[in-house]
This record gives sequence, structure tokens and C-alpha cells, in this order.
Amino acid sequence: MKYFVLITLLFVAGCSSSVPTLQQYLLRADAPGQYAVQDQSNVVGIGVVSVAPYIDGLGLVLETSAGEVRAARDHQWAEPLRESLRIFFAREISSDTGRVIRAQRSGEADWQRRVDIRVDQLHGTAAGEATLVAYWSVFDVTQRTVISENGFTDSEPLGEDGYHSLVQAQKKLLSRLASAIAATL
Amino acid sequence: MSEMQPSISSGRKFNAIWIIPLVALVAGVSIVVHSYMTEGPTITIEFKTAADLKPGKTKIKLLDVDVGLVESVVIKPDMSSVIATVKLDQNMRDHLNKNTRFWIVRASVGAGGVSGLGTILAGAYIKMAPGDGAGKQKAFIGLESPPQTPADAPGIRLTLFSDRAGSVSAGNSVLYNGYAVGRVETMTFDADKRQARYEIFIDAPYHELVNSSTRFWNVSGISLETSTMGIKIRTGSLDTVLLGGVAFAAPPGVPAGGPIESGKEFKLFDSYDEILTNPYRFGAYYVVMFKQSLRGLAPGAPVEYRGIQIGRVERLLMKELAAGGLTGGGASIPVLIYIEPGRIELADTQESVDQFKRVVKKGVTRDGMRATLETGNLLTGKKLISIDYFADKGPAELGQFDQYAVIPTIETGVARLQQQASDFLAKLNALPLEETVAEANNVLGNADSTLAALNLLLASDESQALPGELASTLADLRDVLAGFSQDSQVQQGLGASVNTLSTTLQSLDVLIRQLSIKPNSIIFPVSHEADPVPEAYSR
Repeated sequence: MKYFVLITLLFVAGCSSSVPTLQQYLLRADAPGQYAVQDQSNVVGIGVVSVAPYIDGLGLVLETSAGEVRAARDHQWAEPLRESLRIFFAREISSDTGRVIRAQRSGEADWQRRVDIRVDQLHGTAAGEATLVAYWSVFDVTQRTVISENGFTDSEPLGEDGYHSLVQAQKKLLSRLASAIAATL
Repeated sequence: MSEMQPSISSGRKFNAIWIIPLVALVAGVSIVVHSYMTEGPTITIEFKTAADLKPGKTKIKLLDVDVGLVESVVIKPDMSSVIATVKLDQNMRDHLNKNTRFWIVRASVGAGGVSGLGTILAGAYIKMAPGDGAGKQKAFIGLESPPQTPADAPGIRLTLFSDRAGSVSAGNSVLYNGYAVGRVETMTFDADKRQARYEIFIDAPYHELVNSSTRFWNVSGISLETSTMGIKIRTGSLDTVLLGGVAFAAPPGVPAGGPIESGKEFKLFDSYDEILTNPYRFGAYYVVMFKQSLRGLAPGAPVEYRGIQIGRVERLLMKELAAGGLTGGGASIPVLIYIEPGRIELADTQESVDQFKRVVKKGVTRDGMRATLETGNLLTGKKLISIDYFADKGPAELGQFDQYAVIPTIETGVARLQQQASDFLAKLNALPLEETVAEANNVLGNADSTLAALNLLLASDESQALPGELASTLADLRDVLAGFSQDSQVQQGLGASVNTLSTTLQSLDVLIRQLSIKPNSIIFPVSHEADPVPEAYSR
């Protein structure tokens, strides 16, 4: 009878501990949702989109000190970045160039260009900024040649404290990266 | 004492009476000398017969002037002819030499016309043609017919010979391109050579048209030639058509020869076509000997060097072969060939023939020259002789047969093919064809049964249904594969499942990492540190 009372107290104590609230952030482009592209002659496809393993999880990453990062447990992306970035870049680049951007992995039958993107760094810094380091390559699908290889490094200060501001800053950096990619197509 | 010496005298004194005979003697001698000095020469002329010769009446004329008289006509002791003694005028003495000719002029009617009509009333006479040669002569042989040309006429005198007399006779014209430039003077028949021989004279300056390449042919009569192109008639001038004649020219394509002198002999061809067939005068005879069949090889067959005719076959020397004794061992048959260097654009001269002989000797002894028997026409079977160089043949020597050089021969062409075919057939006969055919029949029989079984198999309902089932299976497979395309629902569902699995595995990875840090964290809750809060940029 004494053991039963003890276990019950332990469960009650466990259940009574405070559970943190999980915050999830959706990465989507700000471009208009309704659009129509008539010119199907210069189709660009989003090829391989890869992210560095330390940001391949759902938690937002924050640099706590020089060379030390920590993925947030209570502040996460609603989708893995490797998936959301594909949709984000396709929408942003299409808005910038007015061209058809294929985000689905449906083959290269009608592609003229293909863009492979790798995000090497995307996190908040201890200095109150969001930083982005990325690389991309543009391929001519018909000629099967590499047109250009490019790099991008930029940072954006946070407007205020908190993960929401970090998400906004990272979103701005990704928008500028999309504009830079559109300029090379 | 001197008184005592008697006066001696001959007792004879010249009698004046002797003057008379002396004077007479002197007068007589002077008469004889004068007569001898003023009298013309007496000559003898030999004729076949004494027809129209009358002693004391028949005159000797030179340029229609009486220069002598026939004194007597006697028969030679051998009865072969008559000898007329003729007294000529004294001024004819210097014209009697070996070239002086005499002939009887009498009335004659012939194809050449009528001549000597004046002699019908006045009688025949002897005409004299003085010569300009050296040496005195008093015995002459009279001509039976008038000479056609004066002995000292400018021009050239030639001899033509022919195997048959034809229609050419003395007095006929000699034509060059249809123009009379000379004449036939005499015609004789050489019994030893069995040839008709003609003396012709070509007047200057036309004699310069004659050289060593010139050919003479008979233009008598009319040449009629019929062919698919029609009828071709070739004639000379009217007198040659009626009387006959001789023409000469250089054969087409034959280079001009060297100059010739009087007395040169030429062959008289029967026609111009014969000249075109054999336009060359100089050539060389050789003998080639074959052991193979000579069927189709006839006299006149061509002798060729790499397809170019250089001569012809004269005849097969069977008589000469038989004269040497038949050995019975299948001796080679000698063939006499005649090669003409003029056919290969060499000059038609004896020098070219000598050069050609040197080339043949060098070719045979050093360069593998051989003669072969080739088939010229597969349909008619006519053959020819080919001479060529064979690099694989070693040196040889020119042989000798009778009086001719012998060019070595080899078997080529159809003969070699026949030999090879014979060898092949011999090998074919040696093959075990019957056994092979029997085995082949067995194999074919087995193949027939196998094919029959295969036909039965294919004709079965199961085999007939196979194509339909196969097509149906392929259609099903196509549908299945279409379900796995990238746009298919299966593919999309599979992609979503993979994504879910990936997310699960990532979460599992976090859990495993957590358990590795604190194994009891699955039972006992772990107190996490609060997430660090990003701080805004502050200066």
C-alpha cells in the first residue's frame, strides 16, 4: 500500500511539471499566390536543394558563442528546410524573372536550365544577426554544360529579440539569395 | 793502074716505062685511102627475124634522115636469129657505142593505137637511137619493140616484180595520184623466180617522189567493192582502165624512206588494198614452237605485243618439221611469224629490223620475253600469237630452227585455264562425293523430321495461343509500369511515405542521441534548458 501511494505521488509530480509551448514557423514566399506565366520556352527547374546537416533538423539554430551552435527545442520550422526551401526559391525566382520555375522532381523533359542550391549556413548569431552562406550552380540542360557557379554570403540584423524576428531576418536573407539566383539565369 | 780498073755498072738502068705503073699505084692507093677515109662504118645488127628487112632497100634512119642501108641479111649458123649487115654514113661513126639501139619500124595496129602507117608504102626501116656511152661497137642486138624512153632521158629506171603477170604490159603509164609520170618499158618473165618483171621509167622531176617507202600497185581495170555501206568503185585513168597501168604512193602512216638509185627493185602489189594490209617492206622472220593445240591459228593471224599488232603468222613449218624426221614424241610445232618494226612507228628500214632483232635477243636472254598462244575471239576460236615480258621467267636463249631464230614460248591464257580446270576436275573426282552426298542426305532427312516436329509444335493450340498471351502480358506490364511513373499516384504516395519515414528517422535520431546521453530519459522526464532567446543587434 505504501508503494502504491509512492508511485501515485511520482506520477502526479511528473504530470504537474510545466511543459514548454512549441513554436513552429512556416517558410513561404511573400510573392502573390495567384499568377500566370504564359512563356513556356525558358523553363527553369530547381534541381538538388541541400542544407548543411546542422540545420537539417527542424529546430532553429542559434549561435551561442564563437563556433558553438544550439538548435532550439521549442522553436522549430514547420517543415524540413530541404523541402520548404525548394518551394520558397521556386516562388521567389519565378516572381523575379517572370519565368516558369519547376519545383517538382518530375524530370527534366522540358527544362532549359537547372539550378542546384546548397545552403551552408543559416542561423542566428550571438551578435544579433541572421547569417546566410549559400552556393548554387546553373546548368544548361540541353547542352549539358555548366553555365555558372556562384556563392552568396549576407547577414541581416534582428529587428527585436526573439525567434520570430530571427525567422523574419532569415526570410529576408533567403529572398535576397533568390534574387541573386534569378539574376544568373 | 787506075786506068786498068774496069768500069763496073749494074748493066740495068731505070726505064721510064716504070713511071706509069708507079703513078697508077699511087693513084690506086690514094683512091683506096680516100675511099676508106670517106666511107661510113659497117655494122651488124641481130634481129629475131628478117621480116621487112630487104638488102639494098631497107634504110637506116636517124631523126627521119637516111644514115645507112642494109647491105645483106644472113641467118646465124645456129638458126636462132638473123644478122643484118648495115652500111652507115661516115658521120655516124662517133655515135656507135654500147648504148646505141636499133629497132625495126613497121606498121602496127594495137590497143595503144596505130603507128608506122608511112611504112606501108615506103617499106619498113631501121630506126637508130644514138647512145652516149664510151667505147666503140660494131655488133648490136636490135630491139623487137621501140624503146619507150631515150637512154639519156632524165629520171629513174626501176624494176618491179610480181608473182603474176596481171594486165600490165610495156607502154602502160606509171601514175602518181592519177597523173602519168612515167611508163612501163618492158615486161619479161623470170622463169627461175617465177616472177613477172617490169622495167619502168619515171621522168624527172617526178622521180624524186620515189623513196624506199614507196609502194607500187596495179591499177588496171576497175576495182568493185560491195559492203553494207554500198558499192565502191575505184579506177585509174581511162587508158589504165583499158590498157592497164602502175601507180605508186607512200602507204598512209608509213614514214618516208630514204632516197633510192636506178635499178632498185620493188614489189608490184595486185591492188592498193593489199598495200594497206601489208604496208611494210622490211621485217624479220622468227619461229615460235608450241606443244599445245594450234586449232584456230591460221596464216595471216596477228602477232601482237600487249595488244598491238607487230606482225603476222606466215605459215606452219610442217614440211620443215617433217624433213627433220618425226620422232613420235609429240614434238613442238614450229610456226613461222613475220614481224615488221614499221608497225610500231619505227622507220621501215633494214636498220630498224636490225635494232628490233637486238631488242628481241636482249629480251629473251635477260628480261623474260616469251611468246604465247592466245585466243583472239572466243566465239570463232581464232587465235593469235602474243609476245610479252614475263618477270617470273628466267633467262633463256634464242633457239634455231632451220634458218630462223626461235623465240621461247610458254603456255598461258585459255591453255593454262584448261590445265588448271583439268587439275581441279581431277581433285574433284578424287573427293568422296558419294559418301558425302549420302551423309548429307541423312542430315537432310533428320532435318526434315525435326522441321516436321517443329511444325507440329507450332501448329498446336498452346503455341498458337502464345502470341496472344504474350501481347496481353506486355499490355499488363505496360499498365504496371505506367503506375510507377513519376506522375502516378503510386509514385506520389511512395514519395510521401519516404518523406514521412525520413522525418521519423530524424526524430528517432534525436531520441537515440538523447538516450545515449541519458538512458533513463525514456522513463524519467528530462528537464530541458530553456532555448536561448536571440537578441537583437545592439551597438
